[in-house]
Amino acid sequence: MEILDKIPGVINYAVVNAEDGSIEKIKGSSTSPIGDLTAFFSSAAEVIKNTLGLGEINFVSLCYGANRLIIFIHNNKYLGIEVEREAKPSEVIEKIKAQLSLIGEEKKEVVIEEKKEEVEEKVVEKEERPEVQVVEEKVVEEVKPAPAPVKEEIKLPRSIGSKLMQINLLIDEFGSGGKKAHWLDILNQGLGVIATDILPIVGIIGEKMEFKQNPPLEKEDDIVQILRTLIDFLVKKAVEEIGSSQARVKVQAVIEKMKQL
Amino acid sequence: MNEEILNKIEERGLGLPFVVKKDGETITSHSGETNKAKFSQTGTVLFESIGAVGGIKIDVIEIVGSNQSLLCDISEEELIGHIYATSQMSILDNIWNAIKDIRAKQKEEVVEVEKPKEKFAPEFLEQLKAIVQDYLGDFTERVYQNQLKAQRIKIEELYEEDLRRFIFALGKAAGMIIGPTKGKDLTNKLLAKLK
Repeated sequence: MEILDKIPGVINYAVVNAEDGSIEKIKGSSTSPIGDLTAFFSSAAEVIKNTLGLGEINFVSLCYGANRLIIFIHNNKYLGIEVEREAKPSEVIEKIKAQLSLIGEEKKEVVIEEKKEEVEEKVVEKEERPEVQVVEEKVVEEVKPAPAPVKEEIKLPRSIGSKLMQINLLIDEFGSGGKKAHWLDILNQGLGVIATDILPIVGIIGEKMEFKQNPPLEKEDDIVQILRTLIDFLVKKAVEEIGSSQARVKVQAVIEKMKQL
Repeated sequence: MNEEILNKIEERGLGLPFVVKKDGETITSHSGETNKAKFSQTGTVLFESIGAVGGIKIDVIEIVGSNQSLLCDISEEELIGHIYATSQMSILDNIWNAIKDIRAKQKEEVVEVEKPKEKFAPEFLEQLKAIVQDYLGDFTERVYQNQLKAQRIKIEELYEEDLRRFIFALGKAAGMIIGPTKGKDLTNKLLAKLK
């Protein structure tokens, strides 16, 4: 499901087991309880579907505040995807399903490639046996080239890029000595309360904060300001956790690293 | 709230409208009468689910099925539900207009029997912001604006329930920056101002 981290527009997501209703994963920065919302409303929808004879559920959509949660089933799991209220559920689901099937195709291709290699090895070993040759032909036929993922090239204005780099270096520095996950959590909290305006276009991918799509140029100044506040937030947290002198040393180390880049 | 308006909506070919109040009272159009118990059960399930999550104001729920879909507009005391054929998605805008009609009709009736709710002046928000400033300092403006937007607070239409929701959201967000104890302290101070 990591692919969901990279999809522009996705603010948060939750994965709920459709069999027992247990919450398997929650990811994102907003403060909404999307795990509970997904679990409760997927189960409520099942009851209502039967009561009102709605047929199979295509999706459930909840609106609250400025956000919308879209719940749908995928591979026996309920996905709860939080997006901006204005987003159209069917378009969001289409986009996500396309990305997920792309991943599925890539995995399938790897498996087929592995099988193909296995069969080829067998063919080399047992060249005299014609039936093996038949198996090989069959497998080769199944290999279809997966469509290349359409990925927008991210080009950040220098001002935004530099602040983003500063944030990631601060997380590396404060999180050194095995505390990276803790600092990524703090960054997530900061994003949730300070950077709500840019949440649909940023996310923590792997262990870095990244832009999922190019930021609108007319909002460059606003975004820089948001990132600046986020840096202040991280430094404030560092002062609380490791003391002001230690925090100052680490901030200085980041400044030095940035000078060298 | 009488059934007349629901009958009119149904006559316009906009599916099956119904209203379920939190206390269980259910109002349907003429042809929805046979499904009254089902609508009531649906309302109960939705209100219970909303109550179970708590602390979040859900105002619209849609369940889109392969045959039929349910659209619900939810307020504090009741929900207005609407069942329509999924293949008729194109009439959604008309359904929303019908829901607005129902809400308008309800408003008229409420004005007749109840005193209108007390409205707060926009300046009241400034007083809240001044308190937040003491706790969040430079972070105030951004956190305050983000929560105004997230809670969809209309500055010109400020009622106690909106302010209460806004205060709890502000306190929670502030807690992420200054810690939960101080966040709670801030919430209490803001609530005291409301009283």
